[in-house]
Amino acid sequence: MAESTTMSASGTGSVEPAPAKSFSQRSWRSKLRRVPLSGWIGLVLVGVPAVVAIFAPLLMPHSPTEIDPTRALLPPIGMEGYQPGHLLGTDNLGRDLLSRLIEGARISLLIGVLSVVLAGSIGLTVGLAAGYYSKWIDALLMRFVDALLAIPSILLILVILGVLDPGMWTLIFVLGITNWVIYARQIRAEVLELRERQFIRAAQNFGVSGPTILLRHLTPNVMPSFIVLSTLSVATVIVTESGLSFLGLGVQPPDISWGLMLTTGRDYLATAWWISTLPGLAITFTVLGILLLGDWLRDALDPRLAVGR
Amino acid sequence: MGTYIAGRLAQMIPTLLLIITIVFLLVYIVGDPVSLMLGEHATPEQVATMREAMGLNDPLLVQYFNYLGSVLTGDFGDSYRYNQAALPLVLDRIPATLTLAIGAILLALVIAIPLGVWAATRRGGVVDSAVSSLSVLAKAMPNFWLGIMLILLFAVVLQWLPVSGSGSWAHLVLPVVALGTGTAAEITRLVRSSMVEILSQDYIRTARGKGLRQRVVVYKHALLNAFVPVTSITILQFSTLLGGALITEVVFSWPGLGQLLVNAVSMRDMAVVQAAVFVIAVMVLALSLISDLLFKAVDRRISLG
Amino acid sequence: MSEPLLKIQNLQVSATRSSAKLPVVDGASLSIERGERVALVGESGSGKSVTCFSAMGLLPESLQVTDGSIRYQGSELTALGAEKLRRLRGPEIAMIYQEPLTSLNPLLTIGAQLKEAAGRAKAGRREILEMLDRVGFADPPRILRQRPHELSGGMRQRVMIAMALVGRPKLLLADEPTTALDVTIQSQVLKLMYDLSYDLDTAVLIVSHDLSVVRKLADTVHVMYAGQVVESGPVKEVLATPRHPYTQALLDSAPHMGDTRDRLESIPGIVPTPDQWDQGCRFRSRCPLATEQCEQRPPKVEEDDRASMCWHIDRLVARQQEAAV
Repeated sequence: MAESTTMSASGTGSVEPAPAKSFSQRSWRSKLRRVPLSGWIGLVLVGVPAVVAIFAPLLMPHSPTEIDPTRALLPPIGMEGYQPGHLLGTDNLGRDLLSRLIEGARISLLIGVLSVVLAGSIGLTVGLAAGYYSKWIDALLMRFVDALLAIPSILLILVILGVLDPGMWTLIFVLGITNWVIYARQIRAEVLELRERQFIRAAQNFGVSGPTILLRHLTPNVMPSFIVLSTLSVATVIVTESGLSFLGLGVQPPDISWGLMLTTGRDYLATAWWISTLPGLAITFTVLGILLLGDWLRDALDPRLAVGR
Repeated sequence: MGTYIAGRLAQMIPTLLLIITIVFLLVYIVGDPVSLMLGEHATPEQVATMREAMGLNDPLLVQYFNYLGSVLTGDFGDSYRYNQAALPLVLDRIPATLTLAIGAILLALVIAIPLGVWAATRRGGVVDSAVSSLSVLAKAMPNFWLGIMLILLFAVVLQWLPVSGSGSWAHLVLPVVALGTGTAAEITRLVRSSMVEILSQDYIRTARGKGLRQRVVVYKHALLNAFVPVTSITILQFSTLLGGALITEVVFSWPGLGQLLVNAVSMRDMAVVQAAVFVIAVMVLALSLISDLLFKAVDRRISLG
Repeated sequence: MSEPLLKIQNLQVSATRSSAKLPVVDGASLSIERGERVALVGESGSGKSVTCFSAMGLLPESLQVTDGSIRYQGSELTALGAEKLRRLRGPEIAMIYQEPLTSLNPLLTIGAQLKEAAGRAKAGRREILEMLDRVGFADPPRILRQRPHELSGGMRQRVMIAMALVGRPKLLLADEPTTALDVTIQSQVLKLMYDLSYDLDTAVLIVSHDLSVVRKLADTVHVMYAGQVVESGPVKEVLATPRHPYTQALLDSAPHMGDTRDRLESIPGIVPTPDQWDQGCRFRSRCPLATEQCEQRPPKVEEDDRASMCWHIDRLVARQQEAAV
């Protein structure tokens, strides 16, 4: 009935003009170079606290833990009663808020990055192993992963915090060992798909050993989604960390965390709103920056994760 | 149908068992329940007697099965802080937490559905950009900080609503808003993306071709099809929300499960912690079953295997 | 002579992106009389579906009518507001689509979807059941309770036809209505469309790439190529003695009864994309008769009720006579 193969059915799909096609085929490298506005905002919002955290000692006008009751509850610049030297004011014990925010950035980002490194390494290893070695290892690991994903991770975190002594390193450990499951699931799904591709088959036929295939062929291919997941995880971890510290279960004084600063601020809402407002803004903008950065990386690196957007 | 539910219930057992096992290992192996109970100043004799009494000198497997046995009868041990059985203590707090969580979900849906639909029908426009910017911002804001800011504005400065506590509708407003905002952002994004996809479907063109009003096309033909993905995320969000509720409750001194659990963790009241974790896990698993059953009712194309 | 039911003149539809305008339909003209069956035929990418959708005011967001006119019963559709255009859809102009499998809402019963269409034309349950009976369902009340996934592709397309015609529209637009169906079902559906069009005095504009469909259903045919109508006329005459090399090429590549050729000739080359269009004949890159003259805008040669846009009609006729000998 049809005249020729070139005359295939024309649906509404053919209504789209041809130039639209070339866009999706453009490689991720060139997409990465085209940074959208939201990507720039993300870079700035993440860049500022990151730079501040690295150069913290140079930037802090005061010692973040120096107590001076005579200078307690000073307001930030622009308000009545502002005292030069304390740009963002002081807290109830007269500690300089700007210096505390800078030190807080350091600890929040350190916890965020280290725990994601821990979660990422576990998740990557489990995901690769489950995906590549399949059969019963896969079944066992995925059963475990599904069970862990079935409950809110905060529960597990709380149980562990109930038996370990709180503190920064405990927090890194706890957040690390509770967040690896998302990686494991995603990486495994990708390995399962990659395993069937020609180049992996070819490597197997050439007698390349399992670990070599995992390391040299599979790992680079799962990197894009690994990077995206890691970026977004840092955001989740920073929020969780500040929440736990706010509850008194996370970072312990004299260490400083943005979440911990909020606990103090909550008691002085009526008299010194800035103590709770400023660290919250710091958390929000940092997390916002990471989310925007993650969205951009996802669009540029990994179309599979962008499904449904 | 009955066999399906039975099958799904059976699937929950290994998950619950795993959770119980993890908690058991953490509390009995990593943590030392005796020193937790007796405190740091107990004499070695006291500790030894206690260990014997609690069966902690038995082989690990014996301890494990004893523990499983008592969990099965609903016995998670006594709270040393309240001097009563842990499970009833936890169950008592559920209504307050559920009130908060359901309120937050309803608020989120009321905001998210119209906003997501609005953005989807004006894809690429100003409204769409504004909605997605707002939802990223809302997602970035930690709910406990939002809660503090709401207290600052509405309770301290404007004095319209109470700072914290419970007992009246007014007490519910701020915690529900604090908890619901992030969820609203998440659901808005999802409603938007499913609606964008659905609005490009052939049957939407058919509905337009019939000359139906835009309102009917969008809210009847399209939104109906968005029901399944939106419900599935909403229920998933519910479990995240329960996690978020733990902190929100502390901010607002809301007498729910979260406050009990957080206090128990900081007091090392492990019987309460275990009971609370178990109860929340059961709730979350039950929700996922309910969501599956809902799909079956709405979408008969999904065959249950 | 009174005004035709639908008259499309010099229609230009363009994809507009960032101030640049790229026409996908460029200078299409056709008219349909009351009760007439007209076909638009051409390869994919020729703009035939877009022409059809613009008459419904149902173009995708990326496309806009940028020039020309579409008149329905004397009123200009391109100037009509969205709301007035919406009211025409259904009771006046109805449409059936290429994909019966995805064109019905999966979550609503057939009854609910038919009722919406009937309601637009103040038709009731009796008319719905009658129409289902006419499109060949043995047990109409049962069909009303079913959902799309319970029906086969052919059944769904018959539901679509019933849905389109239940309001007794004056014009039915059909975009490749049989393409997605099995061959045996195809002729059933075509026969059904023909009979209903005849009985209800509904004019039909059918879009197809398939000449045999055109032959079975239409009285008049317009052949589209690269956004333009290149040849028009009564179906029998156009298919017997084409006046455009492209129509000839379509015929040569179509199998027909008693075909003794070992292989079908496919048209070499591909349809030029809109950015390659110029004022010259757009078929010249694939045309066996092309000369340098074809780089000039081809003339529209009209003769009785036939029209063609080609420089070399005489050479084409000569070839046809040669082949006939």
